[in-house]
Amino acid sequence: MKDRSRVLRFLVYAIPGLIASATSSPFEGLGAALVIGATGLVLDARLRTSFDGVVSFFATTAVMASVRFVDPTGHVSLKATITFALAGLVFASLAGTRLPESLRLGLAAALALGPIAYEVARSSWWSLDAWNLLTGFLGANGLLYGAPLLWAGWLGLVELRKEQRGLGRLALAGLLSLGLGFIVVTDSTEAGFRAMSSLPFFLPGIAACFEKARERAARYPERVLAGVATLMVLWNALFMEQYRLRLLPSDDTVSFAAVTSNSAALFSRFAGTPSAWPANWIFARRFKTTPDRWDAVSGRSLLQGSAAPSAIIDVGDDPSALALDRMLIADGFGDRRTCGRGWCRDVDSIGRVLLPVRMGPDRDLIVRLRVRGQGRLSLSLNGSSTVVAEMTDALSDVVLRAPGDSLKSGIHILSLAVEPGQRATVDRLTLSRGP
Amino acid sequence: MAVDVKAERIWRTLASIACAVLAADLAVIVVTGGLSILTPAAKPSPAAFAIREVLLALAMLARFQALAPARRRLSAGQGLLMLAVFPSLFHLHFTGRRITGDALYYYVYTRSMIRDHDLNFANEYEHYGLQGRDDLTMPTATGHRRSSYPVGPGLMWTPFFLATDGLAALLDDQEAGLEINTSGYGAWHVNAAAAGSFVYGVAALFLIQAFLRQHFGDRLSGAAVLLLFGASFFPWYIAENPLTSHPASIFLVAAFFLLRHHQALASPLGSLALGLTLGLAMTVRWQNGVFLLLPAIDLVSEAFARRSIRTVAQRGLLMGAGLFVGMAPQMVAWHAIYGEYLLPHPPQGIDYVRLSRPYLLNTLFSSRHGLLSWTPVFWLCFAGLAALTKKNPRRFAILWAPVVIVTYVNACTGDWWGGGAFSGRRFDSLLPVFALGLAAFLELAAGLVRRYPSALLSGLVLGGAAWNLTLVRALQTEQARPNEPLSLEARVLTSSRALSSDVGFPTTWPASWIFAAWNGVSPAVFDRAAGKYLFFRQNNLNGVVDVGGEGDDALVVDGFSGPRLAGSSSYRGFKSQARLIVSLDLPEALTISIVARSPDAASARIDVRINGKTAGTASTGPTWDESRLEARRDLWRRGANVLTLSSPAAIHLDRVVFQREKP
Repeated sequence: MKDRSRVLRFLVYAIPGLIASATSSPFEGLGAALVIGATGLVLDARLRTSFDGVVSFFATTAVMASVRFVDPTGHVSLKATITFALAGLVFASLAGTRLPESLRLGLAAALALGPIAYEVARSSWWSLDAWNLLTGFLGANGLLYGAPLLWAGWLGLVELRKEQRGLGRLALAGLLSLGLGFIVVTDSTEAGFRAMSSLPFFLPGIAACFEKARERAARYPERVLAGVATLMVLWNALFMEQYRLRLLPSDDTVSFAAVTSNSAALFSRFAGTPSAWPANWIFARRFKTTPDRWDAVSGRSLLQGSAAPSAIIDVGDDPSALALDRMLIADGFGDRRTCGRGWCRDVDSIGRVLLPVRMGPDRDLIVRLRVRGQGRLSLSLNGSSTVVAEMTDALSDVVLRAPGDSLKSGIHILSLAVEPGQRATVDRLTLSRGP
Repeated sequence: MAVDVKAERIWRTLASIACAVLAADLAVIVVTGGLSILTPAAKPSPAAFAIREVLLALAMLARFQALAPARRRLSAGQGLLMLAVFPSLFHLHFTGRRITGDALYYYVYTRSMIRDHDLNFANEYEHYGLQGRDDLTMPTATGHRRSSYPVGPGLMWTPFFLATDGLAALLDDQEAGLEINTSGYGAWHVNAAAAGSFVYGVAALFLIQAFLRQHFGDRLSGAAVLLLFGASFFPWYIAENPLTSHPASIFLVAAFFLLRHHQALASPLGSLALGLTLGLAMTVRWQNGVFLLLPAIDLVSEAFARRSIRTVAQRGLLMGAGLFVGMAPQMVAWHAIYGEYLLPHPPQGIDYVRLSRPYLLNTLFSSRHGLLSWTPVFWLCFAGLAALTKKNPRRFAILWAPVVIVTYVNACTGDWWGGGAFSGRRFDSLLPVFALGLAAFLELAAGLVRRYPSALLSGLVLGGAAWNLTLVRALQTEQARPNEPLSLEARVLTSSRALSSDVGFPTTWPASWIFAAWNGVSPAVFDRAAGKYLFFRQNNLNGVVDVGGEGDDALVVDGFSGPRLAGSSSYRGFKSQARLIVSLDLPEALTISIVARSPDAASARIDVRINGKTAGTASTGPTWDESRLEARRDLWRRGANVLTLSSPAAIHLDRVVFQREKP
């Protein structure tokens, strides 16, 4: 790739910025695109000292395309843009500097841990949890889940160890620091921001991985074709399965968004989301449920932040794929049906609900279940805190209070058990913090 | 040495016996629905069935690979096809459908021919509860009951039906107390017909692979056929819905291509066989007559090249005789049912094929079973066929003739979407041609990847970028909620919606772009609107657009609020302007009734434009009012039409009803 392609490369690197600024003002959009495109060029130039132009271009594009330069409302995020740009510049300097290695690695670690330190400083509480490492990387809001190309950044470290030891160590320092940072749990809502300053450290690994992949593709092109063929067969098999299960009308038009969504549901129920492997398999085994539920509970907190005093799970109300309760209900609940003026779901024996809660130990957790039915209902959290109540024909609340000091941040199992032959009709579940 | 040969022979015999026993056991299980020769006491579970399949595969590997003489060994390409066969057999037995949809109309031929020795389906239709259908109860000129389906599939299943009679007789003698329904309506006979389709489908795979081997290597041919099988509608029609004409059709067309490739027209017997095969193929699916073009051109070319008109004429006559014999069952069937050997128009009706009215883009790209949109592997087939033609136009350009004709005829067929089909099933007879294209594509692609391995990187980066950036777009268009973890199902839904809305769903390209440009709408609208008709054929809207009701998102373009409820009626609101899209088979004058209210104004007018031209004005007040206007024929277009409603006041729209002058 010749130097005159620089403008073209700049434009490619700026695309994520342009997309991010689609709903922002032209001034913001242009500014973001300029900063992001220029950062891409800087990273690309640094990478070219160790890899060839094509690999550097694709690796840089992979990193640029893995960043979300938007805030939660979808507008371009200046904080994310500037952090990434500064991180890119610092990384490029560290990769090219002749500073003592220990100092270089220390600065890399400091850079990667910067956003986490900022987050901890602003939080009302924080704790350490190794489970959060999985969530941070592979949860539905996690880094590798949202940007699976970054996997190559880890895989490529093996190659770097052989041929580019200095660059490999720098990348490893940044990525390990990011991993350490992910162990920290706070009530912050900006988990995605944590990785922003670490993203450039994925570059060397991605480039090494891409170099290897390109070499393999040239040697075994039939393997590449086999991969593409597998995807086409998978697309067809999932399409047939949803058509067989009548998830699509047999003789009418359908939106392809619904088709892909059905396929994703079928696939993830069976094998889990690929970009969350193996965390979802570990989760499914640990909580005895299907791996697709990992996506809905990982990284989620029903009582997110101090501003959320309570959370409501309206059981059965929303039948769409976006419905919260569908994925939080692990098992034991019947199909949605009307009850009074709303929708409910029945439990005939034992039903389980996954409750991802992130809160400090100083407050109790109160679970309020709105339910009707006959006989007695036993409600327990993680098999320990239990309450037994007599149900009535009218909807009424059954309240369970779990002491805060017994609750770790993470996923909890709420079990509902009814007596044999009885049925509980569940309308909603409300979670709140105790005083 | 002699001992070795003897030992090998013994092992080969044992392997042959193992193959035969296991294959027979699987066949009996499939036909009887669970009786096993090997384990008569227990109905085989899915695991037990799968174990038998694995054992059969191993026995076949031993018999036809390890113990077979080098020249007779199963090739690697043929071995690859086994990856299609065994899972499909499992599917056929455990989840495959039997008498559903069209299957009934094909199967009644088999039963009637063998049990009643006639083609009067009155008793079969009665058995299947079709007495209420006027078109099937009204006698034809010969007093028979109508059938718009060909006789071929039913005919092809007769050996399997008769074999089941034999099996039933055998088991009836041996197993006292076994109640076997031998009426021909029972599960055994229906299963046997399904197994027959499966056998034809599997045979078709091997024939197509044998055909491809004449042009490509063995492994590439096997891989191409396996990919075509796995990524197309083929498995649906041999395992999930086997009682259709498709497996036998593909089998006969594949046999035709193989015969043609082996210069069948060079010998008298070959010419007869070629004609017979094609004639039979035509009794299975009439559309297969298209392939007559190929031997006809071969004969004409021969006449020019050889100058031996007499030989060419002889071959032509022999082929014609074979064709006539092959087609005879259909002519006899038509004569029995309608009193005529040849029908002047398709039995489905004169208007069934409208050669002047093709829906080409819809047939290939729509979400209503579009060939390329549902099964994008056919893109590769077309690309490969183009490359093959470029490489050797004298040999392969002719193959475009059936491709173009079949595509055009399918696009002109009234229900171009093929009823309750999986993908473009009516392209079935082109599978041998498509397989050729696919093999060419794979060969070409392998060379390209070798030369440009960075293509892999661009594919990876593009995929990763699409995954991440479509979520950004979903956030911006409020299809995804910020910071909320989504299930993969929801994530893919929001990302796909954002992608479709911005650039159209990739498998619908370029039709969705053309549709969007022509109608001035987002390419995402193509998915639901193209093929959703106001009045045309089955599952149409009956002229009613129930705004706010279930499925109205197929017709709502923009400007509307989300669905709302007012008492029992659902509606959507709009301010200033909103657009709907409705489709017609042909332009016609329509009366439009608009049921709406204006919550904030004593009276409000709604200006209506159709495809940008003013159609008239409706009026409404604070309560639900119905207002009518006449929309002239010249305002409408064939296919999609955009209805623009504009009003200075806020409007709640309940429904729009379209009425025809002549229903």
